[in-house]
Amino acid sequence: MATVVRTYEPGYWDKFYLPAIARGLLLTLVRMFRRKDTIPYPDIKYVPADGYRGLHRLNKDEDGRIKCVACEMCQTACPAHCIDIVPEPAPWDDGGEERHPAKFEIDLLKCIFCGFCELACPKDAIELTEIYDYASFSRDDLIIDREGLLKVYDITSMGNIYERQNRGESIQIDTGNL
Amino acid sequence: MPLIKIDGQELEVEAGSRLLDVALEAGIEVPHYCYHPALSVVGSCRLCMVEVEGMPKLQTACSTPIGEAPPDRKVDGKYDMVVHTDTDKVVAGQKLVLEFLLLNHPLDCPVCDQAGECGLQDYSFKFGNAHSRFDEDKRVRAAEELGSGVAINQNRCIMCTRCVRFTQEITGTNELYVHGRGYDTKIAIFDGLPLDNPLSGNVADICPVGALLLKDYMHTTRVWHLSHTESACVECSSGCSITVDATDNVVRRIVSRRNDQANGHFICDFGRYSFHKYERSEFKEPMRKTPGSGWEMIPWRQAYQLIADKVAAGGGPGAVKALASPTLPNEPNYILGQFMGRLSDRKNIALLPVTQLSDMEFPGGFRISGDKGGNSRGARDVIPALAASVKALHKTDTGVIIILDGDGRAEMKGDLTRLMAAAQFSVVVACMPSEVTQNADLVLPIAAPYAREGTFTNDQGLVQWLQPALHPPDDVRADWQVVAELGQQLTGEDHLYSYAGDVTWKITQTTVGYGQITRFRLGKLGQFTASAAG
Repeated sequence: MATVVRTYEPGYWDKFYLPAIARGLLLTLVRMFRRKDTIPYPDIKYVPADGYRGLHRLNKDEDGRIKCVACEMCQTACPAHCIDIVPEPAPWDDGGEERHPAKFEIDLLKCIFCGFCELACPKDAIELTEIYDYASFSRDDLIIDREGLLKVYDITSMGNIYERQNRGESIQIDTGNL
Repeated sequence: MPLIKIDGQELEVEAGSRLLDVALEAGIEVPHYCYHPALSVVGSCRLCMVEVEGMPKLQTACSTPIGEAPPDRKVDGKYDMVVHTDTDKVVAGQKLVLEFLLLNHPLDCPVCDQAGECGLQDYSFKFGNAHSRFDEDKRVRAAEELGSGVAINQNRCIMCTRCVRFTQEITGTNELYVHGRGYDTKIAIFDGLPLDNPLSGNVADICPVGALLLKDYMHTTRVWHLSHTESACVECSSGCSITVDATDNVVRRIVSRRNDQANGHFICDFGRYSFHKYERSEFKEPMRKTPGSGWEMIPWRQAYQLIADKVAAGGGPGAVKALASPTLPNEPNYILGQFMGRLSDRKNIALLPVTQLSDMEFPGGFRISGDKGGNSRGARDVIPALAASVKALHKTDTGVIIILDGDGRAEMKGDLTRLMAAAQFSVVVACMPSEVTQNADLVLPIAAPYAREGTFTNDQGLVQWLQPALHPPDDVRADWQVVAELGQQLTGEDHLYSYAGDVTWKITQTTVGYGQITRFRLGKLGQFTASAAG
């Protein structure tokens, strides 16, 4: 297939550059009266669209117990091998699931946020949240363990955390403690 | 011999053989739960149904024998039986039976340890429906303990009664029975009579679903993460074939592997749980006993130098005695026998005594050997000049004594205690602490049983290859290598082996009865020595 190559040949007026400058200034003038596309981050947080795949969380059931049963489906599905689960018999015997994770670690530096873990989970226990600003100065901080993932559930279960932050609620994402 | 046709495949089989056996052997998949080749046929799961031409209804393949038809009733003039396993009728039958089996099944695969090797999962996927028409509440029952090693999840049970037949026919102990009728049927034990026989772990192996579970393995790993190593059990002289399942360089469980030459289908619980013994405190480096009862870690080179010095100080190579190990493979024992023979004309090597009990025989034919050595026969085979007992070594003075303790299964008593006391310096080759290593002057570490490689000869003369399932710690050497290096130190001759199979080859070249054995022929099921086969 032939490829059409467009070349730019400036005409007489183009060589003055004045029409181009005028067009550019006109665009600036129009934009000055439109709604702004930028936001003054971090004073105002960007709110990602629904379905955004950010930091993981481990859900809790109605009794406040971890929903995860350590079936290791997410670990098996994970293409980046960033999930490490060690199962153990659950400590409760009141009708809850008989198995739960003794250790559940996600290496956020390895994670590619594909969401396969969420799709693989038969118990709706692991979910990706809207949180994107969890940078840290240490690699160790970015290996998030079971308690950290449950803490993410606590801060995200009441609604989109950035909308709440923009409304003035003070919610801290403390990476060192996740 | 009857001529039959299964799915267009012509087969000539012996009269009286089971249709299911024939089909499976011909590579035709017929789903089945209650049928197990080691157990009697009950035909209770109704899943192995096939269509036999001339019979109006579907037949269970497991309970249908093949016979000779009269000449005038042969199909197409020559076939005694024409069978179809994939007609619409059969497929519909399988779907219905699976739907029935799943009526009360909780579908709790995420918490079930059988997930990944479950008959219900596999057959539902291949032959079953994607949905169930059962709208009522499922029957829910509490999990129960059947014995010290086995628990039952009644909800998952499909009542194939393999476990009940196992306790009736193989162990003869009859702990399990079918309780109740119809909707209330369940597998149960009698009051005060738990399932605690020495083969009880097998019921979890033969359970096609996740109903019977080993408490030991419960909630540890998922089966698809396990690496399966086909090896042999070293705990007694029966030498059962096993599969060692490991993840992260840790043995998670041991399951039986069918070997009709050795154990048949099953293994005993001693072998099944033996790996826990080796989990604790393996040796990591050579250790020397220092004055004041402490142990000092020393490098290998220094350890060998120490032995050379002690041999020179203790009457020279002629006063060196050795005890071969019935718990180690043939390879280290062979090398030990070879170089000890070169050190002295007298008999200077005996077999380390290990626990001897009486054999345990079960009605189903399974035998647990009383000889807890594992490789006693192999050690006797590969060391020609073996002294009759440890006592025979007392006749002359002992300088340095080399003891292959292997798994630390030797009993510190009688002649062995006296021999170690009489020796000026004792070197023990072992993988973990034992009574013998406590009394040693120098301990040389070797790999633990499931990290070992080599041949084992069971008491029937079956030679099997031990396949290593684990990596030993960095500074721990293979058993044959340590013994070969000891020999090099004592005789001054270079040892010529680069891996375990090298030694095996040498054994087959020089040992009576082992001539026909090669690593290739050993395969996964082993090979009998010439004397045992003849």
